[in-house]
Amino acid sequence: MWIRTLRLENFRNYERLELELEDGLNFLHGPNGSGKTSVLEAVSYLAVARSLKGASDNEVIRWGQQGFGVGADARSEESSISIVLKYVRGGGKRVTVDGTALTRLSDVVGLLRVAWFCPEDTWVTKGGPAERRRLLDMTLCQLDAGYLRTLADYRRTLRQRNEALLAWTPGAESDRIVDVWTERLVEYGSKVIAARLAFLPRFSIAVARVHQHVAGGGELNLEYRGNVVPAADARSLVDDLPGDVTLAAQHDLVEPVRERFRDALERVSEDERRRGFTLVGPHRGDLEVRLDGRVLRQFGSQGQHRTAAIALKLGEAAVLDEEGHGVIVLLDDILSELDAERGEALVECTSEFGQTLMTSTRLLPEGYAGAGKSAVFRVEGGEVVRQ
Amino acid sequence: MAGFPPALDRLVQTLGRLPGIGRKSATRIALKLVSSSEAECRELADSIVDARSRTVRCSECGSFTEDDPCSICTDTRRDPSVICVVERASDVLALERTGRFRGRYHVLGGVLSPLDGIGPENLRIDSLLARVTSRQVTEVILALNPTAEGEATALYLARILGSRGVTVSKLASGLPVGGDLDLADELTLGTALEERRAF
Repeated sequence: MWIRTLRLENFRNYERLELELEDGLNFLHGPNGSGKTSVLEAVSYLAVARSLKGASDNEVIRWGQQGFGVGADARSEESSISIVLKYVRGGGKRVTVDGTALTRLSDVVGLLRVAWFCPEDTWVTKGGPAERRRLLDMTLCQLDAGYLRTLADYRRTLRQRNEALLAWTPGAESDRIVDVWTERLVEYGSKVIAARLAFLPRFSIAVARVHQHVAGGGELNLEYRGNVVPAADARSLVDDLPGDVTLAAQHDLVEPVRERFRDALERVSEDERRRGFTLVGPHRGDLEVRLDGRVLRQFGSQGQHRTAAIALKLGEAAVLDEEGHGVIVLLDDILSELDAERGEALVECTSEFGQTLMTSTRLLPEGYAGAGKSAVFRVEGGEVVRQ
Repeated sequence: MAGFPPALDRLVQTLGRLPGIGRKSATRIALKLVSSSEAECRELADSIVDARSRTVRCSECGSFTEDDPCSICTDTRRDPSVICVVERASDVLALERTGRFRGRYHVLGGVLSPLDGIGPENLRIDSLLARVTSRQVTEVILALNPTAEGEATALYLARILGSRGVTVSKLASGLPVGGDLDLADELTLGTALEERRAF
Protein backbone atom coordinates (compact mmCIF):
# COMPACT_ATOMS: atom_id res chain seq x y z
CA MET A 1 0.00 0.00 0.00
CA TRP A 2 1.35 3.39 -1.00
CA ILE A 3 -0.08 6.77 -0.24
CA ARG A 4 -1.48 8.81 -3.09
CA THR A 5 -3.06 11.63 -1.13
CA LEU A 6 -2.19 12.59 2.42
CA ARG A 7 -4.37 14.98 4.44
CA LEU A 8 -3.59 16.75 7.71
CA GLU A 9 -5.96 18.86 9.78
CA ASN A 10 -4.93 20.80 12.88
CA PHE A 11 -1.89 18.54 13.06
CA ARG A 12 1.28 20.14 14.50
CA ASN A 13 1.78 23.42 12.63
CA TYR A 14 -0.60 22.49 9.79
CA GLU A 15 -4.07 23.93 9.85
CA ARG A 16 -4.93 22.04 6.71
CA LEU A 17 -2.72 20.25 4.21
CA GLU A 18 -3.45 18.08 1.22
CA LEU A 19 -0.42 16.51 -0.36
CA GLU A 20 -0.21 14.40 -3.51
CA LEU A 21 2.60 11.89 -3.09
CA GLU A 22 4.39 9.89 -5.75
CA ASP A 23 5.70 6.35 -5.98
CA GLY A 24 9.41 6.22 -5.28
CA LEU A 25 11.24 8.96 -3.45
CA ASN A 26 9.37 11.97 -2.05
CA PHE A 27 11.98 14.42 -0.84
CA LEU A 28 10.90 17.13 1.59
CA HIS A 29 13.38 19.89 2.32
CA GLY A 30 13.18 23.07 4.35
CA PRO A 31 14.55 24.78 7.46
CA ASN A 32 14.35 23.30 10.95
CA GLY A 33 10.93 23.52 12.55
CA SER A 34 9.19 24.06 9.22
CA GLY A 35 7.00 20.94 9.54
CA LYS A 36 8.85 18.29 7.53
CA THR A 37 8.87 15.68 10.27
CA SER A 38 5.17 16.33 10.98
CA VAL A 39 4.32 14.94 7.54
CA LEU A 40 6.14 11.71 8.39
CA GLU A 41 4.54 11.66 11.81
CA ALA A 42 1.08 11.91 10.24
CA VAL A 43 1.87 8.85 8.12
CA SER A 44 2.92 6.98 11.26
CA TYR A 45 -0.45 7.79 12.84
CA LEU A 46 -2.21 6.25 9.87
CA ALA A 47 -0.02 3.15 9.97
CA VAL A 48 0.31 2.38 13.68
CA ALA A 49 -2.16 4.83 15.28
CA ARG A 50 0.55 6.71 17.11
CA SER A 51 3.51 8.99 16.67
CA LEU A 52 6.68 7.13 15.83
CA LYS A 53 8.49 10.14 17.23
CA GLY A 54 7.11 9.13 20.60
CA ALA A 55 4.93 12.25 21.01
CA SER A 56 1.66 12.08 22.93
CA ASP A 57 -1.62 12.60 21.07
CA ASN A 58 -2.20 15.95 22.78
CA GLU A 59 1.25 17.17 21.76
CA VAL A 60 0.55 16.89 18.05
CA ILE A 61 -2.68 18.93 18.15
CA ARG A 62 -2.24 22.32 16.51
CA TRP A 63 -1.97 25.10 19.07
CA GLY A 64 -5.33 26.26 20.41
CA GLN A 65 -7.31 23.40 18.79
CA GLN A 66 -9.30 20.60 20.42
CA GLY A 67 -8.21 17.73 18.19
CA PHE A 68 -6.59 16.67 14.95
CA GLY A 69 -7.29 14.53 11.93
CA VAL A 70 -5.07 12.72 9.44
CA GLY A 71 -6.17 10.82 6.39
CA ALA A 72 -4.81 9.04 3.36
CA ASP A 73 -5.95 7.52 0.12
CA ALA A 74 -3.63 4.64 -0.54
CA ARG A 75 -3.44 1.96 -3.16
CA SER A 76 -1.50 -1.10 -4.14
CA GLU A 77 -1.47 -2.89 -7.48
CA GLU A 78 -4.68 -4.71 -6.66
CA SER A 79 -6.67 -2.53 -4.31
CA SER A 80 -7.16 0.87 -2.79
CA ILE A 81 -8.07 2.01 0.67
CA SER A 82 -8.99 5.21 2.44
CA ILE A 83 -7.98 5.64 6.09
CA VAL A 84 -8.94 8.49 8.40
CA LEU A 85 -7.80 8.87 12.01
CA LYS A 86 -9.34 11.52 14.22
CA TYR A 87 -8.49 12.47 17.76
CA VAL A 88 -10.37 14.77 20.10
CA ARG A 89 -8.70 15.85 23.32
CA GLY A 90 -9.93 13.59 26.11
CA GLY A 91 -12.04 11.58 23.68
CA GLY A 92 -9.62 9.04 22.26
CA LYS A 93 -8.66 8.14 18.72
CA ARG A 94 -11.08 6.84 16.12
CA VAL A 95 -10.25 5.30 12.81
CA THR A 96 -12.47 4.84 9.79
CA VAL A 97 -11.42 2.66 6.89
CA ASP A 98 -13.32 3.21 3.66
CA GLY A 99 -15.97 5.03 5.65
CA THR A 100 -16.51 2.26 8.21
CA ALA A 101 -15.46 2.91 11.81
CA LEU A 102 -13.11 0.34 13.32
CA THR A 103 -14.23 -1.06 16.66
CA ARG A 104 -10.65 -1.65 17.75
CA LEU A 105 -8.08 1.05 17.10
CA SER A 106 -5.35 -1.57 16.78
CA ASP A 107 -7.09 -3.06 13.74
CA VAL A 108 -5.62 -0.27 11.66
CA VAL A 109 -2.08 -1.57 12.24
CA GLY A 110 -0.80 -3.48 9.25
CA LEU A 111 -2.99 -1.83 6.60
CA LEU A 112 -0.22 0.60 5.72
CA ARG A 113 3.19 -0.70 6.69
CA VAL A 114 5.93 1.74 7.62
CA ALA A 115 9.59 1.61 8.53
CA TRP A 116 10.79 4.77 10.27
CA PHE A 117 14.40 5.87 10.49
CA CYS A 118 15.56 9.00 12.34
CA PRO A 119 18.97 10.27 13.55
CA GLU A 120 18.62 8.70 17.03
CA ASP A 121 18.21 5.31 15.39
CA THR A 122 21.81 5.39 14.19
CA TRP A 123 22.66 4.31 17.77
CA VAL A 124 20.23 1.42 17.90
CA THR A 125 23.04 -1.16 17.91
CA LYS A 126 25.04 0.65 20.55
CA GLY A 127 22.48 1.64 23.18
CA GLY A 128 20.37 -0.41 25.58
CA PRO A 129 18.16 -3.35 24.61
CA ALA A 130 14.85 -1.42 24.84
CA GLU A 131 15.33 0.29 21.46
CA ARG A 132 16.22 -2.94 19.71
CA ARG A 133 13.24 -4.66 21.31
CA ARG A 134 11.05 -1.82 20.07
CA LEU A 135 12.32 -2.28 16.54
CA LEU A 136 11.54 -5.98 16.73
CA ASP A 137 8.08 -5.40 18.21
CA MET A 138 7.09 -2.63 15.80
CA THR A 139 7.98 -4.84 12.85
CA LEU A 140 6.18 -7.90 14.22
CA CYS A 141 3.09 -5.88 15.12
CA GLN A 142 2.78 -4.72 11.53
CA LEU A 143 3.27 -8.22 10.16
CA ASP A 144 0.97 -10.02 12.57
CA ALA A 145 -2.14 -8.53 14.18
CA GLY A 146 -2.18 -11.40 16.69
CA TYR A 147 1.28 -10.39 17.92
CA LEU A 148 0.11 -6.86 18.64
CA ARG A 149 -2.74 -8.06 20.82
CA THR A 150 -0.69 -10.72 22.58
CA LEU A 151 2.06 -8.18 23.31
CA ALA A 152 -0.48 -5.74 24.78
CA ASP A 153 -1.92 -8.53 26.95
CA TYR A 154 1.60 -9.52 28.01
CA ARG A 155 2.50 -5.98 29.06
CA ARG A 156 -0.74 -5.60 30.98
CA THR A 157 -0.23 -8.95 32.71
CA LEU A 158 3.37 -8.07 33.52
CA ARG A 159 2.25 -4.91 35.32
CA GLN A 160 -0.45 -6.80 37.18
CA ARG A 161 1.99 -9.53 38.19
CA ASN A 162 4.58 -7.02 39.38
CA GLU A 163 1.94 -5.40 41.54
CA ALA A 164 0.94 -8.81 42.91
CA LEU A 165 4.61 -9.60 43.65
CA LEU A 166 5.01 -6.28 45.41
CA ALA A 167 1.99 -7.03 47.61
CA TRP A 168 3.09 -10.62 48.24
CA THR A 169 3.37 -11.86 51.83
CA PRO A 170 4.22 -15.44 52.86
CA GLY A 171 1.09 -17.61 52.75
CA ALA A 172 -0.99 -19.80 50.47
CA GLU A 173 -3.46 -17.11 49.39
CA SER A 174 -0.76 -14.65 48.35
CA ASP A 175 1.00 -17.46 46.44
CA ARG A 176 -2.24 -18.37 44.68
CA ILE A 177 -2.68 -14.80 43.46
CA VAL A 178 0.89 -14.59 42.15
CA ASP A 179 0.47 -18.03 40.56
CA VAL A 180 -2.54 -17.10 38.44
CA TRP A 181 -0.68 -14.07 37.09
CA THR A 182 2.33 -16.30 36.48
CA GLU A 183 0.16 -18.66 34.42
CA ARG A 184 -1.20 -15.79 32.32
CA LEU A 185 2.29 -14.31 31.93
CA VAL A 186 3.54 -17.64 30.61
CA GLU A 187 0.57 -17.92 28.25
CA TYR A 188 1.09 -14.52 26.58
CA GLY A 189 4.87 -14.35 27.02
CA SER A 190 5.52 -17.70 25.32
CA LYS A 191 3.65 -16.52 22.25
CA VAL A 192 5.68 -13.30 22.18
CA ILE A 193 8.99 -15.16 22.44
CA ALA A 194 7.92 -17.81 19.93
CA ALA A 195 7.02 -15.12 17.39
CA ARG A 196 10.34 -13.34 17.89
CA LEU A 197 12.32 -16.58 17.50
CA ALA A 198 10.40 -17.56 14.37
CA PHE A 199 10.85 -14.09 12.87
CA LEU A 200 14.57 -13.71 13.48
CA PRO A 201 16.00 -16.00 10.74
CA ARG A 202 14.12 -14.20 7.96
CA PHE A 203 14.91 -10.80 9.47
CA SER A 204 18.58 -11.66 9.85
CA ILE A 205 18.86 -12.68 6.20
CA ALA A 206 17.19 -9.46 5.03
CA VAL A 207 19.44 -7.31 7.22
CA ALA A 208 22.61 -9.13 6.17
CA ARG A 209 21.73 -8.61 2.51
CA VAL A 210 21.27 -4.84 2.93
CA HIS A 211 24.41 -4.61 5.01
CA GLN A 212 26.43 -6.37 2.33
CA HIS A 213 25.19 -3.81 -0.15
CA VAL A 214 25.75 -0.68 1.96
CA ALA A 215 29.01 -1.66 3.66
CA GLY A 216 30.42 -3.60 0.75
CA GLY A 217 31.69 -6.26 3.12
CA GLY A 218 31.42 -7.75 6.58
CA GLU A 219 28.80 -10.25 7.62
CA LEU A 220 26.05 -8.94 9.87
CA ASN A 221 24.09 -11.48 11.85
CA LEU A 222 21.13 -11.13 14.24
CA GLU A 223 20.16 -13.39 17.07
CA TYR A 224 17.44 -13.14 19.69
CA ARG A 225 18.76 -13.09 23.24
CA GLY A 226 16.57 -13.54 26.27
CA ASN A 227 16.59 -14.95 29.75
CA VAL A 228 13.84 -17.47 29.07
CA VAL A 229 15.38 -19.61 26.34
CA PRO A 230 19.21 -19.74 26.34
CA ALA A 231 20.75 -18.82 22.97
CA ALA A 232 22.08 -22.30 22.15
CA ASP A 233 18.77 -23.87 23.10
CA ALA A 234 16.86 -21.34 20.98
CA ARG A 235 19.13 -22.08 18.05
CA SER A 236 18.45 -25.80 18.22
CA LEU A 237 14.70 -25.23 18.64
CA VAL A 238 14.64 -23.15 15.47
CA ASP A 239 17.02 -25.48 13.61
CA ASP A 240 14.75 -28.42 14.35
CA LEU A 241 11.86 -26.76 12.55
CA PRO A 242 11.16 -28.27 9.13
CA GLY A 243 11.81 -26.23 5.98
CA ASP A 244 12.40 -22.50 5.75
CA VAL A 245 11.57 -20.78 9.00
CA THR A 246 8.80 -18.22 8.55
CA LEU A 247 6.67 -16.38 11.05
CA ALA A 248 4.08 -19.16 10.80
CA ALA A 249 6.55 -21.43 12.62
CA GLN A 250 5.83 -19.49 15.81
CA HIS A 251 2.93 -21.83 16.58
CA ASP A 252 5.25 -24.83 16.69
CA LEU A 253 7.56 -23.01 19.10
CA VAL A 254 4.95 -21.94 21.65
CA GLU A 255 4.79 -25.27 23.51
CA PRO A 256 8.57 -25.74 24.03
CA VAL A 257 8.94 -22.05 24.97
CA ARG A 258 6.05 -22.31 27.42
CA GLU A 259 7.81 -25.18 29.21
CA ARG A 260 11.03 -23.19 29.47
CA PHE A 261 9.30 -20.01 30.58
CA ARG A 262 7.56 -21.91 33.37
CA ASP A 263 10.88 -23.43 34.49
CA ALA A 264 12.69 -20.09 34.33
CA LEU A 265 10.04 -18.43 36.51
CA GLU A 266 10.16 -21.34 38.90
CA ARG A 267 13.90 -20.87 39.31
CA VAL A 268 13.58 -17.17 40.21
CA SER A 269 10.36 -17.54 42.17
CA GLU A 270 11.90 -16.83 45.58
CA ASP A 271 14.03 -14.01 44.27
CA GLU A 272 11.02 -12.39 42.59
CA ARG A 273 8.96 -12.50 45.76
CA ARG A 274 11.78 -10.87 47.66
CA ARG A 275 12.43 -8.17 45.10
CA GLY A 276 8.84 -7.54 44.10
CA PHE A 277 9.02 -7.66 40.31
CA THR A 278 9.23 -10.04 37.37
CA LEU A 279 12.80 -11.03 36.58
CA VAL A 280 12.46 -13.17 33.45
CA GLY A 281 10.40 -12.81 30.31
CA PRO A 282 10.30 -11.26 26.85
CA HIS A 283 10.34 -7.77 28.37
CA ARG A 284 14.01 -8.44 29.03
CA GLY A 285 14.76 -9.77 25.54
CA ASP A 286 17.36 -8.26 23.22
CA LEU A 287 18.47 -8.42 19.67
CA GLU A 288 22.15 -9.28 19.46
CA VAL A 289 23.90 -7.85 16.43
CA ARG A 290 27.16 -9.44 15.40
CA LEU A 291 29.59 -8.24 12.76
CA ASP A 292 31.87 -10.99 11.45
CA GLY A 293 31.06 -13.02 14.54
CA ARG A 294 31.81 -10.31 17.10
CA VAL A 295 29.21 -8.49 19.18
CA LEU A 296 28.88 -5.07 17.58
CA ARG A 297 27.71 -3.32 20.72
CA GLN A 298 31.02 -4.10 22.44
CA PHE A 299 33.55 -3.25 19.79
CA GLY A 300 31.88 -1.47 16.88
CA SER A 301 33.25 1.81 15.56
CA GLN A 302 30.95 4.76 15.00
CA GLY A 303 30.86 4.06 11.29
CA GLN A 304 30.08 0.39 11.81
CA HIS A 305 27.17 1.25 14.12
CA ARG A 306 25.73 3.63 11.56
CA THR A 307 25.98 1.14 8.74
CA ALA A 308 24.45 -1.56 10.93
CA ALA A 309 21.58 0.78 11.83
CA ILE A 310 20.85 1.42 8.15
CA ALA A 311 20.93 -2.32 7.52
CA LEU A 312 18.52 -2.99 10.42
CA LYS A 313 16.06 -0.34 9.26
CA LEU A 314 16.16 -1.23 5.58
CA GLY A 315 16.08 -4.92 6.53
CA GLU A 316 12.92 -4.14 8.45
CA ALA A 317 11.51 -2.40 5.39
CA ALA A 318 12.44 -5.37 3.19
CA VAL A 319 10.69 -7.82 5.50
CA LEU A 320 7.57 -5.63 5.67
CA ASP A 321 7.64 -5.39 1.88
CA GLU A 322 7.57 -9.16 1.38
CA GLU A 323 4.55 -10.86 -0.15
CA GLY A 324 3.97 -7.76 -2.26
CA HIS A 325 2.31 -5.84 0.54
CA GLY A 326 4.42 -2.76 -0.03
CA VAL A 327 6.11 -0.62 2.58
CA ILE A 328 6.44 3.11 3.08
CA VAL A 329 9.91 4.09 4.24
CA LEU A 330 10.07 7.23 6.38
CA LEU A 331 13.56 8.73 6.64
CA ASP A 332 13.70 11.69 8.99
CA ASP A 333 16.69 14.00 8.60
CA ILE A 334 18.91 11.02 8.17
CA LEU A 335 21.37 12.51 5.68
CA SER A 336 22.70 14.82 8.37
CA GLU A 337 23.89 11.76 10.29
CA LEU A 338 25.53 9.96 7.43
CA ASP A 339 28.54 10.73 5.29
CA ALA A 340 27.93 11.28 1.59
CA GLU A 341 28.80 7.74 0.64
CA ARG A 342 26.47 6.04 3.13
CA GLY A 343 23.79 8.62 2.39
CA GLU A 344 23.88 7.83 -1.27
CA ALA A 345 23.85 4.09 -0.62
CA LEU A 346 20.80 4.59 1.59
CA VAL A 347 18.88 6.53 -1.02
CA GLU A 348 19.79 3.96 -3.63
CA CYS A 349 18.61 1.10 -1.40
CA THR A 350 15.26 2.72 -0.72
CA SER A 351 14.57 2.89 -4.44
CA GLU A 352 13.70 -0.81 -4.36
CA PHE A 353 10.75 -0.09 -2.08
CA GLY A 354 7.54 1.33 -3.41
CA GLN A 355 7.51 4.65 -1.59
CA THR A 356 9.92 6.68 0.51
CA LEU A 357 9.35 9.96 2.31
CA MET A 358 12.59 11.64 3.22
CA THR A 359 13.24 14.93 4.99
CA SER A 360 16.36 17.08 4.95
CA THR A 361 17.36 20.65 5.66
CA ARG A 362 19.32 20.63 2.43
CA LEU A 363 18.54 19.71 -1.14
CA LEU A 364 19.41 16.25 -2.32
CA PRO A 365 22.95 16.42 -3.74
CA GLU A 366 23.14 16.42 -7.52
CA GLY A 367 24.00 13.13 -9.06
CA TYR A 368 22.56 10.96 -6.29
CA ALA A 369 21.24 7.74 -7.73
CA GLY A 370 17.49 8.11 -7.86
CA ALA A 371 17.62 11.85 -7.27
CA GLY A 372 16.49 12.54 -10.81
CA LYS A 373 13.15 10.79 -10.60
CA SER A 374 12.20 11.93 -7.14
CA ALA A 375 9.38 14.30 -6.25
CA VAL A 376 10.83 17.31 -4.43
CA PHE A 377 8.82 19.39 -1.98
CA ARG A 378 9.79 22.65 -0.33
CA VAL A 379 8.45 22.89 3.23
CA GLU A 380 8.26 26.23 4.98
CA GLY A 381 6.00 27.66 7.70
CA GLY A 382 3.27 25.06 7.45
CA GLU A 383 3.15 25.06 3.66
CA VAL A 384 4.37 22.38 1.31
CA VAL A 385 5.08 23.27 -2.31
CA ARG A 386 5.94 20.73 -5.00
CA GLN A 387 8.97 21.86 -6.99
CA MET B 1 -15.42 33.58 27.90
CA ALA B 2 -18.72 33.93 29.75
CA GLY B 3 -19.77 30.63 31.35
CA PHE B 4 -23.20 29.20 32.05
CA PRO B 5 -25.24 30.49 35.01
CA PRO B 6 -24.13 28.64 38.19
CA ALA B 7 -27.12 26.25 38.48
CA LEU B 8 -26.90 25.20 34.83
CA ASP B 9 -23.15 24.81 35.13
CA ARG B 10 -23.62 22.54 38.14
CA LEU B 11 -26.04 20.40 36.15
CA VAL B 12 -23.50 20.07 33.31
CA GLN B 13 -20.79 19.09 35.81
CA THR B 14 -23.05 16.49 37.46
CA LEU B 15 -24.15 14.96 34.17
CA GLY B 16 -20.55 14.91 32.97
CA ARG B 17 -19.63 12.57 35.82
CA LEU B 18 -21.90 9.86 34.41
CA PRO B 19 -20.29 7.04 32.41
CA GLY B 20 -20.15 7.60 28.66
CA ILE B 21 -21.11 11.26 28.89
CA GLY B 22 -18.47 13.79 27.97
CA ARG B 23 -18.66 17.53 28.32
CA LYS B 24 -20.37 18.02 24.98
CA SER B 25 -23.13 15.49 25.66
CA ALA B 26 -23.56 16.81 29.21
CA THR B 27 -24.08 20.33 27.87
CA ARG B 28 -26.56 19.12 25.24
CA ILE B 29 -28.60 17.18 27.82
CA ALA B 30 -28.51 20.02 30.34
CA LEU B 31 -29.71 22.57 27.76
CA LYS B 32 -32.53 20.22 26.71
CA LEU B 33 -33.55 19.81 30.36
CA VAL B 34 -33.65 23.50 31.22
CA SER B 35 -35.77 24.19 28.17
CA SER B 36 -38.33 21.45 28.95
CA SER B 37 -41.28 21.80 31.32
CA GLU B 38 -40.91 21.54 35.06
CA ALA B 39 -43.17 18.46 35.03
CA GLU B 40 -40.86 16.66 32.64
CA CYS B 41 -37.85 17.48 34.80
CA ARG B 42 -39.72 16.38 37.92
CA GLU B 43 -40.54 13.08 36.26
CA LEU B 44 -36.88 12.45 35.44
CA ALA B 45 -35.72 13.44 38.91
CA ASP B 46 -38.38 11.28 40.54
CA SER B 47 -37.57 8.28 38.39
CA ILE B 48 -33.89 8.53 39.37
CA VAL B 49 -34.65 8.76 43.10
CA ASP B 50 -37.33 6.09 42.85
CA ALA B 51 -35.07 3.64 41.00
CA ARG B 52 -32.30 4.28 43.47
CA SER B 53 -34.46 3.68 46.55
CA ARG B 54 -36.21 0.57 45.21
CA THR B 55 -33.24 -1.19 43.66
CA VAL B 56 -31.11 -3.40 45.86
CA ARG B 57 -28.52 -6.09 45.27
CA CYS B 58 -29.85 -9.63 45.40
CA SER B 59 -28.29 -11.19 48.50
CA GLU B 60 -27.90 -14.47 46.60
CA CYS B 61 -26.47 -13.60 43.20
CA GLY B 62 -25.57 -9.92 43.55
CA SER B 63 -27.70 -8.82 40.61
CA PHE B 64 -30.01 -5.77 40.74
CA THR B 65 -33.52 -6.44 41.99
CA GLU B 66 -36.49 -4.84 43.73
CA ASP B 67 -37.32 -7.98 45.70
CA ASP B 68 -34.56 -9.80 47.50
CA PRO B 69 -33.81 -12.56 46.49
CA CYS B 70 -34.29 -11.72 42.82
CA SER B 71 -36.75 -13.34 40.43
CA ILE B 72 -34.07 -15.56 38.89
CA CYS B 73 -32.84 -16.87 42.25
CA THR B 74 -36.42 -17.64 43.36
CA ASP B 75 -37.57 -19.16 40.06
CA THR B 76 -38.06 -22.83 40.91
CA ARG B 77 -38.08 -23.79 37.25
CA ARG B 78 -34.43 -22.79 37.01
CA ASP B 79 -31.73 -25.33 37.74
CA PRO B 80 -30.07 -24.49 41.09
CA SER B 81 -27.21 -26.90 40.47
CA VAL B 82 -25.60 -24.76 37.75
CA ILE B 83 -24.16 -21.31 38.50
CA CYS B 84 -22.92 -18.94 35.85
CA VAL B 85 -20.31 -16.48 37.17
CA VAL B 86 -20.23 -13.04 35.53
CA GLU B 87 -18.31 -9.83 36.12
CA ARG B 88 -21.21 -7.35 36.20
CA ALA B 89 -24.98 -7.31 36.55
CA SER B 90 -25.26 -6.12 32.94
CA ASP B 91 -23.69 -9.43 31.86
CA VAL B 92 -26.70 -11.22 33.39
CA LEU B 93 -28.98 -9.27 31.07
CA ALA B 94 -26.81 -10.16 28.08
CA LEU B 95 -26.90 -13.86 28.92
CA GLU B 96 -30.63 -13.78 29.69
CA ARG B 97 -31.28 -12.31 26.25
CA THR B 98 -29.87 -15.51 24.75
CA GLY B 99 -32.66 -17.47 26.45
CA ARG B 100 -30.29 -20.47 26.51
CA PHE B 101 -29.28 -20.57 30.14
CA ARG B 102 -31.60 -22.15 32.67
CA GLY B 103 -29.37 -22.11 35.73
CA ARG B 104 -28.63 -19.28 38.13
CA TYR B 105 -26.11 -16.47 38.23
CA HIS B 106 -23.44 -15.04 40.47
CA VAL B 107 -22.20 -11.49 39.94
CA LEU B 108 -18.56 -11.03 41.03
CA GLY B 109 -18.66 -7.26 40.94
CA GLY B 110 -15.35 -6.96 39.09
CA VAL B 111 -12.20 -8.91 38.26
CA LEU B 112 -8.85 -9.33 39.95
CA SER B 113 -6.59 -6.37 39.30
CA PRO B 114 -3.62 -5.79 41.61
CA LEU B 115 -2.96 -2.51 39.75
CA ASP B 116 -6.32 -1.20 40.94
CA GLY B 117 -5.92 -2.79 44.35
CA ILE B 118 -8.65 -5.35 43.63
CA GLY B 119 -8.01 -8.71 45.26
CA PRO B 120 -10.31 -11.67 45.96
CA GLU B 121 -11.53 -9.98 49.15
CA ASN B 122 -12.99 -7.13 47.07
CA LEU B 123 -15.02 -9.48 44.88
CA ARG B 124 -18.07 -11.56 45.79
CA ILE B 125 -16.02 -14.74 45.98
CA ASP B 126 -16.80 -15.78 49.57
CA SER B 127 -20.51 -15.76 48.84
CA LEU B 128 -19.88 -17.80 45.68
CA LEU B 129 -17.99 -20.40 47.71
CA ALA B 130 -20.75 -20.40 50.33
CA ARG B 131 -23.36 -21.03 47.62
CA VAL B 132 -21.30 -23.82 46.09
CA THR B 133 -20.75 -25.54 49.44
CA SER B 134 -24.18 -25.18 50.97
CA ARG B 135 -26.35 -25.89 47.89
CA GLN B 136 -26.21 -28.84 45.55
CA VAL B 137 -24.14 -27.07 42.94
CA THR B 138 -22.54 -29.42 40.43
CA GLU B 139 -21.30 -27.04 37.75
CA VAL B 140 -19.90 -23.52 37.71
CA ILE B 141 -19.67 -21.77 34.33
CA LEU B 142 -17.15 -18.95 34.19
CA ALA B 143 -18.46 -16.29 31.82
CA LEU B 144 -15.78 -13.64 32.24
CA ASN B 145 -14.36 -11.38 29.54
CA PRO B 146 -11.35 -12.79 27.66
CA THR B 147 -9.08 -9.96 28.83
CA ALA B 148 -5.84 -10.39 30.82
CA GLU B 149 -7.74 -9.69 34.06
CA GLY B 150 -10.79 -11.79 33.14
CA GLU B 151 -8.63 -14.79 32.29
CA ALA B 152 -6.59 -14.47 35.50
CA THR B 153 -9.78 -14.25 37.57
CA ALA B 154 -11.23 -17.29 35.80
CA LEU B 155 -8.04 -19.21 36.56
CA TYR B 156 -8.14 -18.16 40.21
CA LEU B 157 -11.77 -19.28 40.55
CA ALA B 158 -11.10 -22.55 38.72
CA ARG B 159 -8.33 -23.34 41.19
CA ILE B 160 -10.31 -22.68 44.36
CA LEU B 161 -13.47 -24.32 42.99
CA GLY B 162 -11.60 -27.31 41.61
CA SER B 163 -10.84 -28.56 45.10
CA ARG B 164 -14.54 -28.48 45.97
CA GLY B 165 -15.65 -31.20 43.61
CA VAL B 166 -17.66 -29.12 41.14
CA THR B 167 -17.25 -29.12 37.40
CA VAL B 168 -15.80 -25.81 36.25
CA SER B 169 -16.29 -24.75 32.64
CA LYS B 170 -15.53 -21.61 30.66
CA LEU B 171 -17.35 -19.95 27.80
CA ALA B 172 -15.91 -20.92 24.42
CA SER B 173 -14.22 -18.25 22.35
CA GLY B 174 -14.43 -18.58 18.63
CA LEU B 175 -16.18 -17.65 15.44
CA PRO B 176 -19.07 -15.22 15.33
CA VAL B 177 -22.27 -16.92 14.22
CA GLY B 178 -23.11 -16.24 10.59
CA GLY B 179 -19.61 -14.92 9.91
CA ASP B 180 -17.27 -15.82 7.11
CA LEU B 181 -14.13 -17.81 7.91
CA ASP B 182 -12.00 -15.61 5.68
CA LEU B 183 -13.20 -12.48 7.44
CA ALA B 184 -12.35 -13.65 10.97
CA ASP B 185 -9.13 -12.26 12.41
CA GLU B 186 -6.24 -14.68 12.87
CA LEU B 187 -6.38 -14.69 16.65
CA THR B 188 -10.10 -15.54 16.78
CA LEU B 189 -9.78 -18.17 14.07
CA GLY B 190 -6.69 -19.60 15.77
CA THR B 191 -8.50 -19.86 19.11
CA ALA B 192 -11.51 -21.44 17.44
CA LEU B 193 -9.20 -24.02 15.89
CA GLU B 194 -7.41 -24.75 19.15
CA GLU B 195 -10.70 -25.09 21.02
CA ARG B 196 -12.45 -27.15 18.33
CA ARG B 197 -14.63 -29.99 19.47
CA ALA B 198 -15.58 -33.44 18.24
CA PHE B 199 -18.33 -33.45 15.65
